[in-house]
Amino acid sequence: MKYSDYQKLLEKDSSSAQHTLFREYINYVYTIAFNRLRSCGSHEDIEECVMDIFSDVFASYEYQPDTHGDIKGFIGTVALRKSAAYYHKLCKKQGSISLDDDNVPDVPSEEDVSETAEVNETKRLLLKLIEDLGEPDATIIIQKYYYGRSSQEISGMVSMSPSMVRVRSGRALKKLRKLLSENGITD
Amino acid sequence: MKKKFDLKGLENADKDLLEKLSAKYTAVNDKEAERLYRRMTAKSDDTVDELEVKGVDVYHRPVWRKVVSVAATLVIAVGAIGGGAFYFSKLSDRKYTGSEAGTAATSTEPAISITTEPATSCNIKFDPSADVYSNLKANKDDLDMKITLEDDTRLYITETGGKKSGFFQYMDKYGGTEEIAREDFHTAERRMYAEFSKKGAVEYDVPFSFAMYGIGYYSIEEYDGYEFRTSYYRFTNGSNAFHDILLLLTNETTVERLDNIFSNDVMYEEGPMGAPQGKMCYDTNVRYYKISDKKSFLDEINSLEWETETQKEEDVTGYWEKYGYYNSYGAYRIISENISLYPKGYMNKDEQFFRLKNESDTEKLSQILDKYLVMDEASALAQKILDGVTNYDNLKAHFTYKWEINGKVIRSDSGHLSVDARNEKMYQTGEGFVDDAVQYSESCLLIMNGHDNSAYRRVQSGDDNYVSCGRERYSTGNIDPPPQYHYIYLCKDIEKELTPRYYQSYYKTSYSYETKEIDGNTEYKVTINYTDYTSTEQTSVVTILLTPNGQLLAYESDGPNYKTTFALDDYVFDSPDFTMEDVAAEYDKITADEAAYLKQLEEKAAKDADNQQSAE
Repeated sequence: MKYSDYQKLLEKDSSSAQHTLFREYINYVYTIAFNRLRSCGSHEDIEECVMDIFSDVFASYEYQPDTHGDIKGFIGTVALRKSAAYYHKLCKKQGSISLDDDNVPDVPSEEDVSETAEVNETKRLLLKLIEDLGEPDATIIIQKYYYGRSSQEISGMVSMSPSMVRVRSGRALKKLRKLLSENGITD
Repeated sequence: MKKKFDLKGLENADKDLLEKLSAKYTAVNDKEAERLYRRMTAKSDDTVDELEVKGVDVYHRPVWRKVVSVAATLVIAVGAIGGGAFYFSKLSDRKYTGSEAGTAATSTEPAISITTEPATSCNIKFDPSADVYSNLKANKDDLDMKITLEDDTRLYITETGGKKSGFFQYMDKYGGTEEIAREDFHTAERRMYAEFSKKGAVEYDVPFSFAMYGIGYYSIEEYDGYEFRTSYYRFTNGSNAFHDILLLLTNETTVERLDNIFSNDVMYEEGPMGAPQGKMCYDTNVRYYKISDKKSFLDEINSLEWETETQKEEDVTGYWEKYGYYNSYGAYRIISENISLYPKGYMNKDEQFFRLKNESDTEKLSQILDKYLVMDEASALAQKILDGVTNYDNLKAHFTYKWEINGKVIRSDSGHLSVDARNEKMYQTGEGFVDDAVQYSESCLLIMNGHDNSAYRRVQSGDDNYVSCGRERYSTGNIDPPPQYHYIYLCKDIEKELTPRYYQSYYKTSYSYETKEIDGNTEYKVTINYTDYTSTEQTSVVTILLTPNGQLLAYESDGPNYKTTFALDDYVFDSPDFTMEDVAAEYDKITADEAAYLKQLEEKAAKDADNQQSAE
């Protein structure tokens, strides 16, 4: 969605515009929040974070309408920052940093900046190896071992019975472990 | 030890990777997204942050304001169409308070317009002195009516033809004549939303929307382009209105189909928190019940005194917060009414929590549940199979197993089986072949050393006699070979196939049974008709042969593209001369071998890394 499209929608019906924006970017925003908080935040924390991100985005577009031409880039930035703030609040336990506090770092935390290019390359390789499994195995692996979904839930995504999903996931995991081992990635 | 696999390595990824991840994989499904949006819009009355964004710098300044513009939009959706319904009138008597009358449902799912008339310029007239229904009716000729049917997770779209006028006639006859207060308004999962858009409007423009609930309440929302105005009503003919209007707007086939989907009224789920046996039972157990007399049942529930739950006691937090607010472990969920009853004395209705005022009523609550809930046929069979796993002493048998996909045999085995049922121990050895891209012979040992503590050792024939081994649990879901190959896990798997969570609203549509007596045992032929993810009707037939006590003798699952069979022969149950293999020793051996194998893998990875570094 282009910002000009959103602006047109906003002029017509702001609630409808926001709903459209939400649906367009919910998967992106949820992916970002989940990625940052999956190890230390609860499902509820992640949802709170996602809602906060969208609230910020909506409010920002309402009060600073001319500054954010690149919607996806802007939403991504807000999402990364808010997720980092949630991470500090939930996971670092460094006193009580309020999400509303001006002192929440603008630049992502030291954990973020310590991410080296090498580490990111490893992540990229990991994702590639998963994708190399082909479909539906890649989806099954991501949904099961990253998003933590049950075979029942995944079955709806890959048009298979839950039993078949279990079977496929077992076999796919075996293949993935072999690929990881061959590429020097320990799971 | 094989640690639980986790893609932790993807965490804290950079923006580029996150974009790839989000573009390809679903992080949140449509249903969850809509629920989240509804929650967000519901929260918009609270304090929110106002932001000033300059470049990439974000400054927060909390302010108190209402985000009117985030108020919900409305489309039509019919949710959770269930069986009989009635006024939940007593529950609206202030025995508990604070029930949310959420009417704002949202969806971006497409709806089919019922008219095909060309766009005409029209002006919707809003009379602020008139009630909302009068305004809707006054503009009806300038409005299109759209409807989308939804059954909790899936949308069913229908065209309502030229039935709009019939809708208004019905509303004139049975619609409430007086508005009711929002706090006296109640919702249910069985719901229907209708959207009235400007006739021929190209852009999304919905001045009126209508929400109706299976218990006979409805609301109409008006949006004049500036603000929302919502009125709440109750039909004079109660819950009949829901069925009547659904029939009016759709057709008998649709109503019957949706009724069938929701033919089971109560789902009970027990998991780690609710399992009365104090163990996980290889994962959660789900059972479905019919309510023999729904009105009397709910009347009796209501005759108990309930109060709003405010204290975060262990039971409440355990049931309610630990697993998420929408989870209902240990609860009897009345699907069509959005009510969950917890035998320990709690109730959730429309996401509000209540507890019995008098602890002595807990026993009464259990008695009411026993009196009115009748387990359905699939659940009763599932229970019989699960009971059959442990309600005997021992078994020695020969077994055969075959698994086919699209007519091709993927695995075929036969071998020996010993079960010490009381102690939940199993020893199963098989010889056969596996066709996993290439075909090879394999011997497979499967053991269970107590409840859900299994281990396997597979030896492939060939040049290097490749051995794989490890421990596994049904409840963690990563079973290899598949659970249908493991005699005890097969029983659990059948039990789950017969009672999946929310099957009414998910993809199972109907079960039909044929039973046959064979030499004192009973053969159950269960035909499962369901709609798969692509909305294609599918059929699978599961045939099970059980002893009178519920022990599994044979299983065949014949699906759209797969077939699995497992059968015992030369079997002897409860022999006084039974001796069991030393399962505990074998389990320890596999545990040690597994640890050694993983260590070997790690060492190899380290060595490979060193080699790569040297080469560079």
